[in-house]
Amino acid sequence: MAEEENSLPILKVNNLTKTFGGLVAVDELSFSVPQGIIYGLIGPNGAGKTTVFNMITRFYKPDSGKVLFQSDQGEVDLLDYRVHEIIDLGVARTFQNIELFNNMTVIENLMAGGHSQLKTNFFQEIFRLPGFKAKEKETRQQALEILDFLGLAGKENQPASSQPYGVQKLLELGRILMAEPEIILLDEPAAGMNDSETNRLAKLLQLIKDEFDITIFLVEHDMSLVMDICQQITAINFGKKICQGSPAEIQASEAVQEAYLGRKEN
Amino acid sequence: MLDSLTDSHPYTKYIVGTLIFMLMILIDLQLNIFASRTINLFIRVVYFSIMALGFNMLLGFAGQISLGHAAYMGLGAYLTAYFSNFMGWNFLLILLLSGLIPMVLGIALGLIALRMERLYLAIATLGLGVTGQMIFQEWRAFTRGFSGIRLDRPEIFGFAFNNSRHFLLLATAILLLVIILTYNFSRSRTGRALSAMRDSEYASQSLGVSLFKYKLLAFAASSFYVGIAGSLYAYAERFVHPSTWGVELSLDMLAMVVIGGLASIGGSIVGAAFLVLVPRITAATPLLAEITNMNYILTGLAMILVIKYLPLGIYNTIDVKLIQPYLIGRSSKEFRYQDLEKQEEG
Amino acid sequence: MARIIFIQNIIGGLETGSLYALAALGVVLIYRVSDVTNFAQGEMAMFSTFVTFTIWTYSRAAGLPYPYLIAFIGALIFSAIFGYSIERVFIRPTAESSLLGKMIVTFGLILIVNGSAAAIFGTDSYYMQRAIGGTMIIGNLVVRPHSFFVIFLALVIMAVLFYMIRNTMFGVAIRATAQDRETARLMGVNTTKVTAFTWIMATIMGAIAGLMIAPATNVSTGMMADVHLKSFIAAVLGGFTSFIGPVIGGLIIGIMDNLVGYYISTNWQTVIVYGILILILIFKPYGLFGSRPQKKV
Repeated sequence: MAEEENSLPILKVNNLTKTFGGLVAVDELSFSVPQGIIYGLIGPNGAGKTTVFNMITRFYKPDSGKVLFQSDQGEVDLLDYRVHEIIDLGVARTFQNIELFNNMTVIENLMAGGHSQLKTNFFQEIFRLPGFKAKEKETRQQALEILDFLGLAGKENQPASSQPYGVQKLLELGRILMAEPEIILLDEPAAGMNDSETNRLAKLLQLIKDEFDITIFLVEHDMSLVMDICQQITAINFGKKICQGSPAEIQASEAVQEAYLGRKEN
Repeated sequence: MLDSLTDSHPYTKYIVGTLIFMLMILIDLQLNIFASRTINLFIRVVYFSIMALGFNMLLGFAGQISLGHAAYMGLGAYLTAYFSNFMGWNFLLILLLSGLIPMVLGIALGLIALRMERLYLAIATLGLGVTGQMIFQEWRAFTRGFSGIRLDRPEIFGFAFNNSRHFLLLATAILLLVIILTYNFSRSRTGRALSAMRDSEYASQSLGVSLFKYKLLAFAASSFYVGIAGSLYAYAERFVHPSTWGVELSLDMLAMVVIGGLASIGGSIVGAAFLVLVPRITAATPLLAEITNMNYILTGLAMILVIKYLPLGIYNTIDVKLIQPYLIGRSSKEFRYQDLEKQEEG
Repeated sequence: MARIIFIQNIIGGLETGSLYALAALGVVLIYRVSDVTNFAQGEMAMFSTFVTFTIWTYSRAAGLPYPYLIAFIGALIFSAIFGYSIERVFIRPTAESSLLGKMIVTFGLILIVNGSAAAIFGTDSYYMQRAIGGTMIIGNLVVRPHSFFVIFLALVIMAVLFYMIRNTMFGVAIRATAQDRETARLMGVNTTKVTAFTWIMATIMGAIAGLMIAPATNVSTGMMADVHLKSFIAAVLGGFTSFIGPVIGGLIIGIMDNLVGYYISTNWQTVIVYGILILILIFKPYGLFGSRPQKKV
């Protein structure tokens, strides 16, 4: 485990705070995600996990705090960027309630995922100027490869919304891989999956981390998955960090058990 | 929607279709088989097709709504009348300007749209449409108010398109160009970004789609198309009057796109043809002809029936149910109709 | 004198404003309960008014006593049936469509109702009498009793409606359905009945608004265009998320409309009122009393 401790943090969250109408959802939260590992954020329902994701990916504006990200251009504060700009830095995410493009086909969903990578402009597109075709083809090829990687080859021309739930989850994952990110934030990737799908997902995530060299940061309810694949975990409750460490340390933590099971007094 | 199912059979069908139509008119130029009424009907289908394509860009592709686009079309028509009567400019320049000026106003509308959700936008644009029509009535220096403006058919390099068949050929050529550009645009990064924005604003933003840029683009492009359609309207009808540019026309655009097929090029044309032909057919049908505004009732019913039974629109349903299974059945078995049924429910 | 004219304009504004409020409240009621924005509200009101006008004309021709009262009761009965039929025939079968689809259904309804009205009643315009004719003089003010009747009637209807929503079991059902349709249904609320009822209520309110505005606009297929737009603007101004918002929005629009019409220009009245709306919306995109719906990402 020494290897992980040496690796540089790719994402550092410093004193992040968010209140909703007087209720503190996230309270002075700090943690850092080392590069190249699978990192988990856990906590009971309503602990503020998705709120953290929404602040990092700029859907919510935090009241205070910093989100430092190690990008190609050095360390940047994500809060200086707008919601559609962070993908260019290499930060991508999935959503808790699947947000696929339902009226598009599977391959169109993936190709739309390549939006930030594909550099064609409007005039090139409408007049089919030189360079357009090659780039479009390249994107399509990449999409097909990712579908193949996910084990979904052959589904490219089917409507995205007609896919079963598990496949839709995978498609959302594939769609962000198209953006060639540095780090991916997965909001409950295994929710709604059966055991065999979850097992496959665990293997896929390991592969994504190793083959694509992507740091994975996930929020998840399925404890066995988290304990299985995460190298480091932060547990939060009521927006505050209650424990941080390896899966073994988390499992041993009384604070975590208390948060999940409630106080055993009385 | 799902237009990319036809990817293995690209837009040649549109080009071939249009060329056959043009050839037919060319032959008719010698034989005069069609009545001039029929030719005029064709002309209306053509300029309404451009209008519907523009509106589909907004509603079908980008998922934005406007009930004020009739005002942009009216502006295109008035600009054309004004430039051709008082400036005597070249046809192509006028056509371009009649698209570009509404486009600038369309961008302004897009800026407002950025701050509103769909319902509020629908109502705000409804007000805009009413306002636009009032301006056409009151701004007499530009529009001559209720007297209306007359103008002549266009002229290119000394060739006057006075013969309606000639004008129909010209308009069809412009439609073909618009179809090709729309097709190219819809199968590209920009087109996908628009559709992505329509289906999920959250996901599209997180993938790098700037709502600011693409909403403005949708409004700009659709206003440009509609302005061009207005220009062709003015040249075709040779008369521009404020009563044309009411909310009814905006509703017609919506009806065309819904009935024909959202986010579909073929659907826009089928929808335009539907709305042009229904009044003619009812007027020619003995019993229906006696009922005032029967075509309104039929159009309204068609809209509701399509929403209930054919959410993909007439064109796409025919395309997907009859043409695609035939074509795909021969090439691959990837697509099955059951998938679409599920998709319709979603 | 200037002050008297001003007061007269305010009274006129309250009169039309309370009609906008009535129509807007109908739209918002339906919207909250069934997620449908009824763009055909104005056309439906026009249709009801035509029916009322027809009853009135026939009652007079037949020499019946109190023809206006007969017509008024006829309006209530007809619009209730009309509202229910529209809901049953067009809205309920398309309840599973997307939000945009539901909106489009009501656009289709505009065409159907307007076309039917033209087919049945023709495209001419007709005179309709006021509920109470003549004028009266209070001090230096010259006012129409009709104005007070309209304001009073609108207040009574809204008071009854608000009382019902706040204090009766059925009101609880309406509020529950407006809050969360699915949960309400699971809790045993008959949401189908609630929806049908709101359509009936809204159609009645629209019909009354139509009947009351008819003396000013005449009865014709285009009579509700302006009222319709302004009631929607009132709903937007007040915000679709509250019941009281559209009422206040309606009164504001009514007064503003009259003042602009008198002091600035009648020709540009709608344009100016609309411009003010856009300005307000730029700063308050969800209306004066509305709140932004929070969607979970």
